[in-house]
Amino acid sequence: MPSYKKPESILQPAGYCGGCGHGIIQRLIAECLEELGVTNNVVNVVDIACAYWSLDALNFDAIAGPHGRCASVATGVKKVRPDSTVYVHAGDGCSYVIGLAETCYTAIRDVPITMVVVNNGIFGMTGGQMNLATTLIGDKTLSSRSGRKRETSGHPVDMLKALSSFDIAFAARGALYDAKHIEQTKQYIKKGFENQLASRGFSIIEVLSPCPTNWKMTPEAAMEKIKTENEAVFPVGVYTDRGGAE
Amino acid sequence: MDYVLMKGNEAIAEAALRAGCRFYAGYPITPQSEILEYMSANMEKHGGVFIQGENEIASMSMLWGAAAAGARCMSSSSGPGFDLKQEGISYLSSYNLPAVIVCAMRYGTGDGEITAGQDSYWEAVRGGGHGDSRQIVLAPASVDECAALTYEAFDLAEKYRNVVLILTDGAISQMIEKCHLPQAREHDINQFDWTIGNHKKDDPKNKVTNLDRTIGYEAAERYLRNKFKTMHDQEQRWEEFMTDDAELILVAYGISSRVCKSAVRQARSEGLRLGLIRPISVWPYPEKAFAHAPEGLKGYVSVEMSLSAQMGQDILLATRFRKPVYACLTTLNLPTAEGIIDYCRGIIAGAHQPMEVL
Amino acid sequence: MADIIMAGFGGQGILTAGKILIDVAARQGKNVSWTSSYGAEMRGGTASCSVVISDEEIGSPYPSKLDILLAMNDPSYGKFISQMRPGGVALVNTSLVSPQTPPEGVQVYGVAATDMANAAGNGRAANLVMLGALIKVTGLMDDQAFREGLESFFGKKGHANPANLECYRQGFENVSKL
Repeated sequence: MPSYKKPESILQPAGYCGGCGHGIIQRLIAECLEELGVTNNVVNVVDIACAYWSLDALNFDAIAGPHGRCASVATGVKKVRPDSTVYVHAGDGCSYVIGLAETCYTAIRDVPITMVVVNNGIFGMTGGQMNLATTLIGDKTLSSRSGRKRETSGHPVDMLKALSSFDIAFAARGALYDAKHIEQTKQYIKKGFENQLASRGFSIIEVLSPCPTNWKMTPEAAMEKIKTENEAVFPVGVYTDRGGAE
Repeated sequence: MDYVLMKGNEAIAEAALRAGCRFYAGYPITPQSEILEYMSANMEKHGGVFIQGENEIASMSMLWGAAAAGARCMSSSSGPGFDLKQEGISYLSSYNLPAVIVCAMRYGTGDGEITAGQDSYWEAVRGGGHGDSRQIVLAPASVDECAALTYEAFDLAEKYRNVVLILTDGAISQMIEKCHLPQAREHDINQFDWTIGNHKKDDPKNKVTNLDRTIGYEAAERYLRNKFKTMHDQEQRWEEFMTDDAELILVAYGISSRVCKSAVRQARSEGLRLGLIRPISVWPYPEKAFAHAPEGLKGYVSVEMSLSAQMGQDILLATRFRKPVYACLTTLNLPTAEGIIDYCRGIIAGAHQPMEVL
Repeated sequence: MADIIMAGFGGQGILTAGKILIDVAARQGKNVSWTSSYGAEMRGGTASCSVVISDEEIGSPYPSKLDILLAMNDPSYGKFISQMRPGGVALVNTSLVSPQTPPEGVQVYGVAATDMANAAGNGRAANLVMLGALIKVTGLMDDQAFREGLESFFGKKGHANPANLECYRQGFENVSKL
């Protein structure tokens, strides 16, 4: 029987909106770290956006990065504290838009951190503007009111394909729309932490995650949208897995 | 030999290593690249980490992480690169993290020139990004001082939990002189209780973000006001040279102060009594040096390599407008002793007006 | 006390000549400073460095009036000769410089540095020929001390080469008043 007990590392409720995927992701991270037995020596690097809630919610040392620079902040921490388990919990705006250079060069340096990127196709914390990397063509946001147009805003990008062209340890995309995918996502995140514990290099796990508030949908409709629309552009699965000796 | 011949940039880098700096991240830009190159060549020998960042912003973010994790850390830049560092300085200030940042000034806005200048003064003493923050800003005028002030900067940064800037210029950074290097020492990354990643520390875990979020607005405001006041009162540094009987006192820091010292000697040999106040800290500005003007003083002359009298405004504040302040501004040209003396003779002859605040 | 500018084409070893000079002077207990003009170009163009040697604390490391000019090409001579103090000494590389009339009170000495260095099979050491000439004419430092300093400068860098001292000697012995 699966256990539904709250991970001990979760100290208090976070302020995520109802139906948001961040809370599930935060819980998966806590579960993975507890199962790996490393909860006493963890540094959580959060972005100054929705992931910020996890800074207080989890019983880990934590630092809020300048918006977009989480991978660089994590690099600084990991280099000074190589024995700590350092992970990033950040959105797709941070990781793929304003902080694309920082994410790419952290990958290129193959810094052994675990980076969890929440792909919800929108700028959540600022109220629902277009995300240049992940908003789908035709999706309506506060800054693409009649739907994203390729002619003016370009097209969404599968950053895991791009990042897989670098020599990194692990890149995978999960989803949260059913139990099977949540479990698969958890295994990806766990793999990311195992890689770090074995000093195997940079691991990135992207998670397709709903934002019902800014998508202006019910949580169920948001999950359905991911399943039928977003996943078609951003397929789940493992993009690269370098493996390597224990 | 008790000295080495080295460039200002090299002295800064070596002194940082001797102070226990074990994390450097930066991006190349003239005229400070030797700092980065020196760190690249020597940091690993000390068991530290050197990273050439993809840009200044990323480098400063790495520093934010490294400082929070307890390392003595440093970055350096110049001109347009120093602009990009402001975000990082703001973040370091938001949680009162210690770090040492070097700005080797060049001249001009935008890309400007790669040669020496002193027009990042405002950015250094009034900058640090948005919000209320203060950085201790030390301005070396010799290679020896590059080493001594950088070495001490790490202590000051930790004493106040504050960013300390080393403000040099293309001339001080690039010149070679005798340098007397300080004793090497190690820094314990676990010595403070606010660091992250120290797993020997008990709960509660540390959260590094805006200080006011951690301790509340009122406590944070009290803490910061008190800190700024203490730094202001206790960290004013300056050198005075032949001011006692001066008719005019030159005020200059960095490379300009070197030329001014020559000008004072030369002017006195020609019968013109000049003096010099050389601010070593430009924030806090050495107001105490202006408390008592010598009898018969006709005014102060700010000598700067900038278009506006940037430091001149601080002299006005320090003198509380009691004496005329003149500005001898040489923009991208190094001042010359003859030029300064001519300017001073012009003041006495009534040919120059006191500076305007523009 | 001497305010010195050394100038020439990039690649003539001007900056190194300045560094040798301050290295030896510093060993003899002098205060020294060395500054170079630096531009956007990495190679070629003109190069110059200012050297100040003094028993006193050094004020400006960028002297505006010169006691000694060491000019290894024509443009350098033209650019800096007017900054000489009366009583100053200009040393020129006669292989490449045809000195115009100097200001009143400035003495000009010359040595065919480029030719001599080439003849010695050490073409890059024209700067050392010039240094030999400089030490002979100005008496700025003791000849023997300078030779030792020169050897130690290159030894420290792992570039010890007897031809270096030979070039220095040629400059010392062959310099003449123009």
